[in-house]
Amino acid sequence: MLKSNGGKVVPYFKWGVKKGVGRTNKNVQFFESFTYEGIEYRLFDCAYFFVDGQCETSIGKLVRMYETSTGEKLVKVMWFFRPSDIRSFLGGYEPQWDELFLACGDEEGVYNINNVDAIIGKCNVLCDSEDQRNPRPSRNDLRNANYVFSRTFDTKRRIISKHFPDGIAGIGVEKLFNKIRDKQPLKPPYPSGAASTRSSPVKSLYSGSGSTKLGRNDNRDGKLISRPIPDRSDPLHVKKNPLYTESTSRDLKTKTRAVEKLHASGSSLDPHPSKKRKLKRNTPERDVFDDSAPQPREQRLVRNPPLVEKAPSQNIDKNSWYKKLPFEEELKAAMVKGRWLLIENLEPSFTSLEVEDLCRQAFNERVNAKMIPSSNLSSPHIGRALVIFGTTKAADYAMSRLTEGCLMLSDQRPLVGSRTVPKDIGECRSFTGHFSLVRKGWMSFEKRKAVATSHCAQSNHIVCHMALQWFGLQRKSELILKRLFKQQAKEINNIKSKKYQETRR
Amino acid sequence: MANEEEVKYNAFLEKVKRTVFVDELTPLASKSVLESAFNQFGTVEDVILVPNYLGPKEIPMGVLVVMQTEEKAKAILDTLSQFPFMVAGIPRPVRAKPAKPEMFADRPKEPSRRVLCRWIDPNDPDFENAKKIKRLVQKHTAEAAFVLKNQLDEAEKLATKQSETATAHHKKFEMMYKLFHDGVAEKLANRYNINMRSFPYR
Repeated sequence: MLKSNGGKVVPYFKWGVKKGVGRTNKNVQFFESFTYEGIEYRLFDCAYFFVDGQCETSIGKLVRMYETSTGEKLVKVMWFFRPSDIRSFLGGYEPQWDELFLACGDEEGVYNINNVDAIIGKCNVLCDSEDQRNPRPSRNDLRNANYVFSRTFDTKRRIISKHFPDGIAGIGVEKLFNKIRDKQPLKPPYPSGAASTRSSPVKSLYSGSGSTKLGRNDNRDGKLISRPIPDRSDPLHVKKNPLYTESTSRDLKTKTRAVEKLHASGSSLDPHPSKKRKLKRNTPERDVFDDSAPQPREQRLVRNPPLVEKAPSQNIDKNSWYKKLPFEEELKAAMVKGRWLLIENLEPSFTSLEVEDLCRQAFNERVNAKMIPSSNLSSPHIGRALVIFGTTKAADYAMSRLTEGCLMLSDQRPLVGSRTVPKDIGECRSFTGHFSLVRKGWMSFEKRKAVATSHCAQSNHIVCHMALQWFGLQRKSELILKRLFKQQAKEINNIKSKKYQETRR
Repeated sequence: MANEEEVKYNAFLEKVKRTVFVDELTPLASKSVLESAFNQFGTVEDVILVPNYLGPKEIPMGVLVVMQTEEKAKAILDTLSQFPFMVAGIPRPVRAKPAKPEMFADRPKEPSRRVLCRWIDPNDPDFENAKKIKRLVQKHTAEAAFVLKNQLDEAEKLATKQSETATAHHKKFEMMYKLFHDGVAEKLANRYNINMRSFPYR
């Protein structure tokens, strides 16, 4: 909820570097990054999105961020599909637990424009495709990734494909692959090192790549204009594009085979997996574009199979785990990584420790759990707990087991997992129903003392009259909630008693 | 061991009895402000803020006020149910209700209870029913969220209305204050032969 308090701009949103203004509409400003709720998002980062009415969050790539003349902060998002979203089109394909599918095609649902406040948190999605254009992630990167994708899902033809088209929704495909952190491979006349290792095995596959290079330089301008959104894409990227398109579409097979061969021989296709990158991954605020040139010794070594085996109870953030941060802090970190879960329909009298015990029994996971303390506003029938798992995978696994399977407590209580995100948590600096201190003048006249001390209202005072209005509202809310909970109790009992009748029969 | 647990739990239950759950509080109220506010009723032993993990953040803050004796807690409940009691701001009063054990985040577990759970097979006769209950729970959560949002909206509306009224009053008073201050009122009173002393807002 982006609300400006008294004309002040919302403090938890800040634009980063400005990229330019719109070509057709000069009032639209494009940016390269922004900070929202303390998290920095850059172009082509991935994020979790809140979708109204859905328990599961959606994951998308931020491909454009801009502010309209009316001050709306918008992001263009390219979506990933979860396997469950497209399960009827999977065919024989068995997705991995953490696999996503990039949307492509020109049908609806590939991308759309969203308000910034639909973003829940950052999501680390890596591309594990063997596509030539994709800088391969290191094994360590893969382990730290929340999700991976290696296939696209064509929304029009409804098929899963290994093949990545050269542009999706006007975005060059290079941008959708893993980020190229070093400028090296982008510089065309790079004599040695990464660039050559990268291109040399490929060169041999199709003749005349050298001449293509020249040609590219010649008609650079023409190519630029032919791109759907040339102002957005780096000209270097664009230049590269035609070369790869031609080859991929024609001899995709030969190429993939070549890649495999490379794997077998143990040489590296990828210039980037570097120690530097690994280090950065581990720090929470990682800088995605690294300008420094890569160290030659960093390009190495054995490429391992892309599948990363993961021990279920392995905890990546062991350090923070044992330090025992305050729960709020931990929750914040967990939300960014998506390794949390809200478990509902617990026995309300459960304690946090009991929930932890429960998760150990059910998922065989060590978790950090916190019962949500009940209040006048919460349902007396349902206990809820926030559970933080060691890894995103563990949380996802638990979530899917809870959704598909059924975990029953001893007293006929099936547990419900949910990821409906706690919305707008944080400090609220104003309070509905209290006069703000702006109206000090009024209070000096009335009773400034009233603010400093707590008191019961005097019956002859206007404040008393207003307070009584609030009193009335409180009573009304209480009654509404009471009725709601009563109705809900009835509904629950209905189902339960039906069951007993059935068993008796 | 079990005994120790029981003793601990009983002590906790006794504490719950001495506790009042106060909500509709401004988040600006600090612990010390709250303590002094409820010290008017008797000695406050502890004030525990109830965290709001699930938002929205507009929900008024709730606290558990632990009094030294059960009677004092009762006194708070009695007074606050009859008179609007305002803490750290006007005019929205706070609301006090008896505390429940579930409101304490760090409560001890009930003695001699073991948490048991089992995974139900899709072929199990219970499975369908469990699915139904799960859906029901989701529905209920959504309902509660909706009602909550409605209530927040209503509070917002009332606040706007009241602030408008207050502003209007303020303007009126300001005008009168000015008239008294620059002597216009006095002149008029003299002119019309009215005794200024009888005017209450002087």
